[in-house]
Amino acid sequence: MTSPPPAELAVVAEGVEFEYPAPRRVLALKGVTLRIPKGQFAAIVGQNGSGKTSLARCISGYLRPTRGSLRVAGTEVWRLRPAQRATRVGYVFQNPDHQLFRERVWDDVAFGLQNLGASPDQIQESVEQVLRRLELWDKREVHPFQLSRGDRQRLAIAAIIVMRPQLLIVDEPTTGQDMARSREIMDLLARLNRDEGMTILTITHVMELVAEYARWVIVMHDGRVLLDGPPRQVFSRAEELRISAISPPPVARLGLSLGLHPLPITVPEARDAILRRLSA
Amino acid sequence: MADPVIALERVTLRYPTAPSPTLRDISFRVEPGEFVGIVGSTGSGKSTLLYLLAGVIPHYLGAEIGGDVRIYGRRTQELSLARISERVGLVLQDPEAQLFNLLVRDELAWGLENRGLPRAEIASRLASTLGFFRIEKLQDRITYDLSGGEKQRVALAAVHAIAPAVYLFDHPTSQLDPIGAAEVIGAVRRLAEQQQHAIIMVEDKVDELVEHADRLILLNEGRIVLDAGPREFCLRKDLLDAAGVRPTQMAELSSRLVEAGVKLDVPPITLEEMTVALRALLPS
Ligand SMILES: Nc1ncnc2c1ncn2[C@@H]1O[C@H](COP(=O)(O)OP(=O)(O)OP(=O)(O)O)[C@@H](O)[C@H]1O
Ligand SMILES: Nc1ncnc2c1ncn2[C@@H]1O[C@H](COP(=O)(O)OP(=O)(O)OP(=O)(O)O)[C@@H](O)[C@H]1O
Ligand SMILES: [Mg+2]
Ligand SMILES: [Mg+2]
Repeated sequence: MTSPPPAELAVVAEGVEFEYPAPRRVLALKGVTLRIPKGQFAAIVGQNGSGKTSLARCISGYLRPTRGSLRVAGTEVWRLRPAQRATRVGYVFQNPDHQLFRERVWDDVAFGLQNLGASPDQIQESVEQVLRRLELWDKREVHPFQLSRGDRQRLAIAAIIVMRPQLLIVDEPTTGQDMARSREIMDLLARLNRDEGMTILTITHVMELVAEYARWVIVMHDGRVLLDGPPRQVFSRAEELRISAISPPPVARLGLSLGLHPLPITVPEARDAILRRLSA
Repeated sequence: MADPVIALERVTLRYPTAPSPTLRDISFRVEPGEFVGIVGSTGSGKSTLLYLLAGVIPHYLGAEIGGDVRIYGRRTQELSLARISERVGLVLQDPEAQLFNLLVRDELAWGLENRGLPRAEIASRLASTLGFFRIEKLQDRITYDLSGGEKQRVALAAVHAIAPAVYLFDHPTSQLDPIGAAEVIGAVRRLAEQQQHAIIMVEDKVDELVEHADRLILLNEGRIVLDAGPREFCLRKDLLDAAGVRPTQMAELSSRLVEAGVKLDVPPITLEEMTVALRALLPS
């Protein structure tokens, strides 16, 4: 495979290490090397404590790698001022409550744009557009802590995407959401990816959603990338995935045990693969 | 006959600020050793139901309650929260709301110390709980510095150490890695089977519940619309669709195959059943 020129890469990490400082001194990243092209929709998966959130915080510039080099669209983001950073990379926290702190839903979404120095008219327009898109417009006057967990999660996403980052990192966006809400959130990310070319990096433990939405999967284990590739290829390596406490979706496990090729990873694919075999 | 662990009779609940009831006409029973799963879409009343069983409602959160909520035959309204919590352990949906000690080992020990257990007993329970949730290495860590899944493991472990007769779990695996989630739900099944604990678990991993729970209850807008064993539960597609809940992937695949004319006498609902059924059908 030929590697794309650096300008076409959203993320380039070479030997990234990160240690949480003393007194704890936890070495969370032990040498991460990866490349994510612009426009990709990638999922980071892996065992609890394997370093997914720490990696996301480094890519977003909240944390500075202890060693190694990490560039987002060619720049070392931790060097940038927050306002410069915000249009390059947005990070939605694993727990939305760590991110929401204003009195009204509307204010939480407007806050970032105010910091970027947008005009009141621009702010009005962008905030309204994003709130409508995320079905939060009717709740714009509500205090964020009176929202349900699902609404708070979407609000946290709204507060970041309103700044139109080129790269959006969303840490476990579907935690505590039912399947319908989870899909709504993933559909939204897919639209941002398709319509606006936003590069999406999502962390998740839900392999059904990875199979359906991601085009690239990065598997973390113990502070390193264990393997990466397109979902079908990654899910075909069930033995290796087990090392990082991942099991492929049930339909993929079925496909593996029946020897179906190409490996089905969604329910419709499994149905088609089985029907093909039955009529063969 | 002994009283059931939990008995709800025609329970209705309305929060003071809510225009309409959150729970409507809820009746069910749970016996010792039973593992009951609860599923339903967001806002269907799952957490509210657990709060009611744990006595959080009405002792901590006010609400208008109709009908009868009993734990071991006693009405929860007449028992103090302290008495209820001697037998009932609740694991909250949000682990961060549950952790309030600085160090992991204190988080796990304080409940036991509160109950006046001897030191040796505390040490042995801690050792087994740490192993159970694979968090031996986190003992000396600061709770708020942990990763999301690690926090959830600690919150689960803190309740497990106390070994309450009745466990109430609210989305206990929402932040766990897939194999970790399957292990925890499998281990919970053994608590019921081998030690006769009663388990009520709100969980959206229907695949895991179908594998391990004795019964599944489906909530839709505060009502129980289905209370059935795993197989019957998966096959009531009409009710699941109406409630916005999906059955297991294998149950979905079964119905797609049947629609396409494949003959499956007993529609498989688990991976194991599906593998066996298809091996018999497919030319190898
Ligand atoms: N603020 C912190 N201080 C010290 N150590 C930390 C801190 N945050 C995370 N860690 C540790 O760093 C390691 C990686 O944590 P990280 O949060 O990146 O994991 P993760 O893959 O996101 O896990 P999860 O799936 O549970 O969210 C873990 O051992 C964790 O305990
Ligand atoms: N303290 C409260 N006061 C008023 N209404 C409440 C309160 N707590 C919950 N509700 C409402 O009761 C309904 C049921 O909420 P509950 O939290 O039980 O749902 P749930 O099934 O647990 O949802 P989720 O899957 O999102 O956790 C919702 O409409 C919610 O807004
Ligand atoms: Mg994390
Ligand atoms: Mg709930």
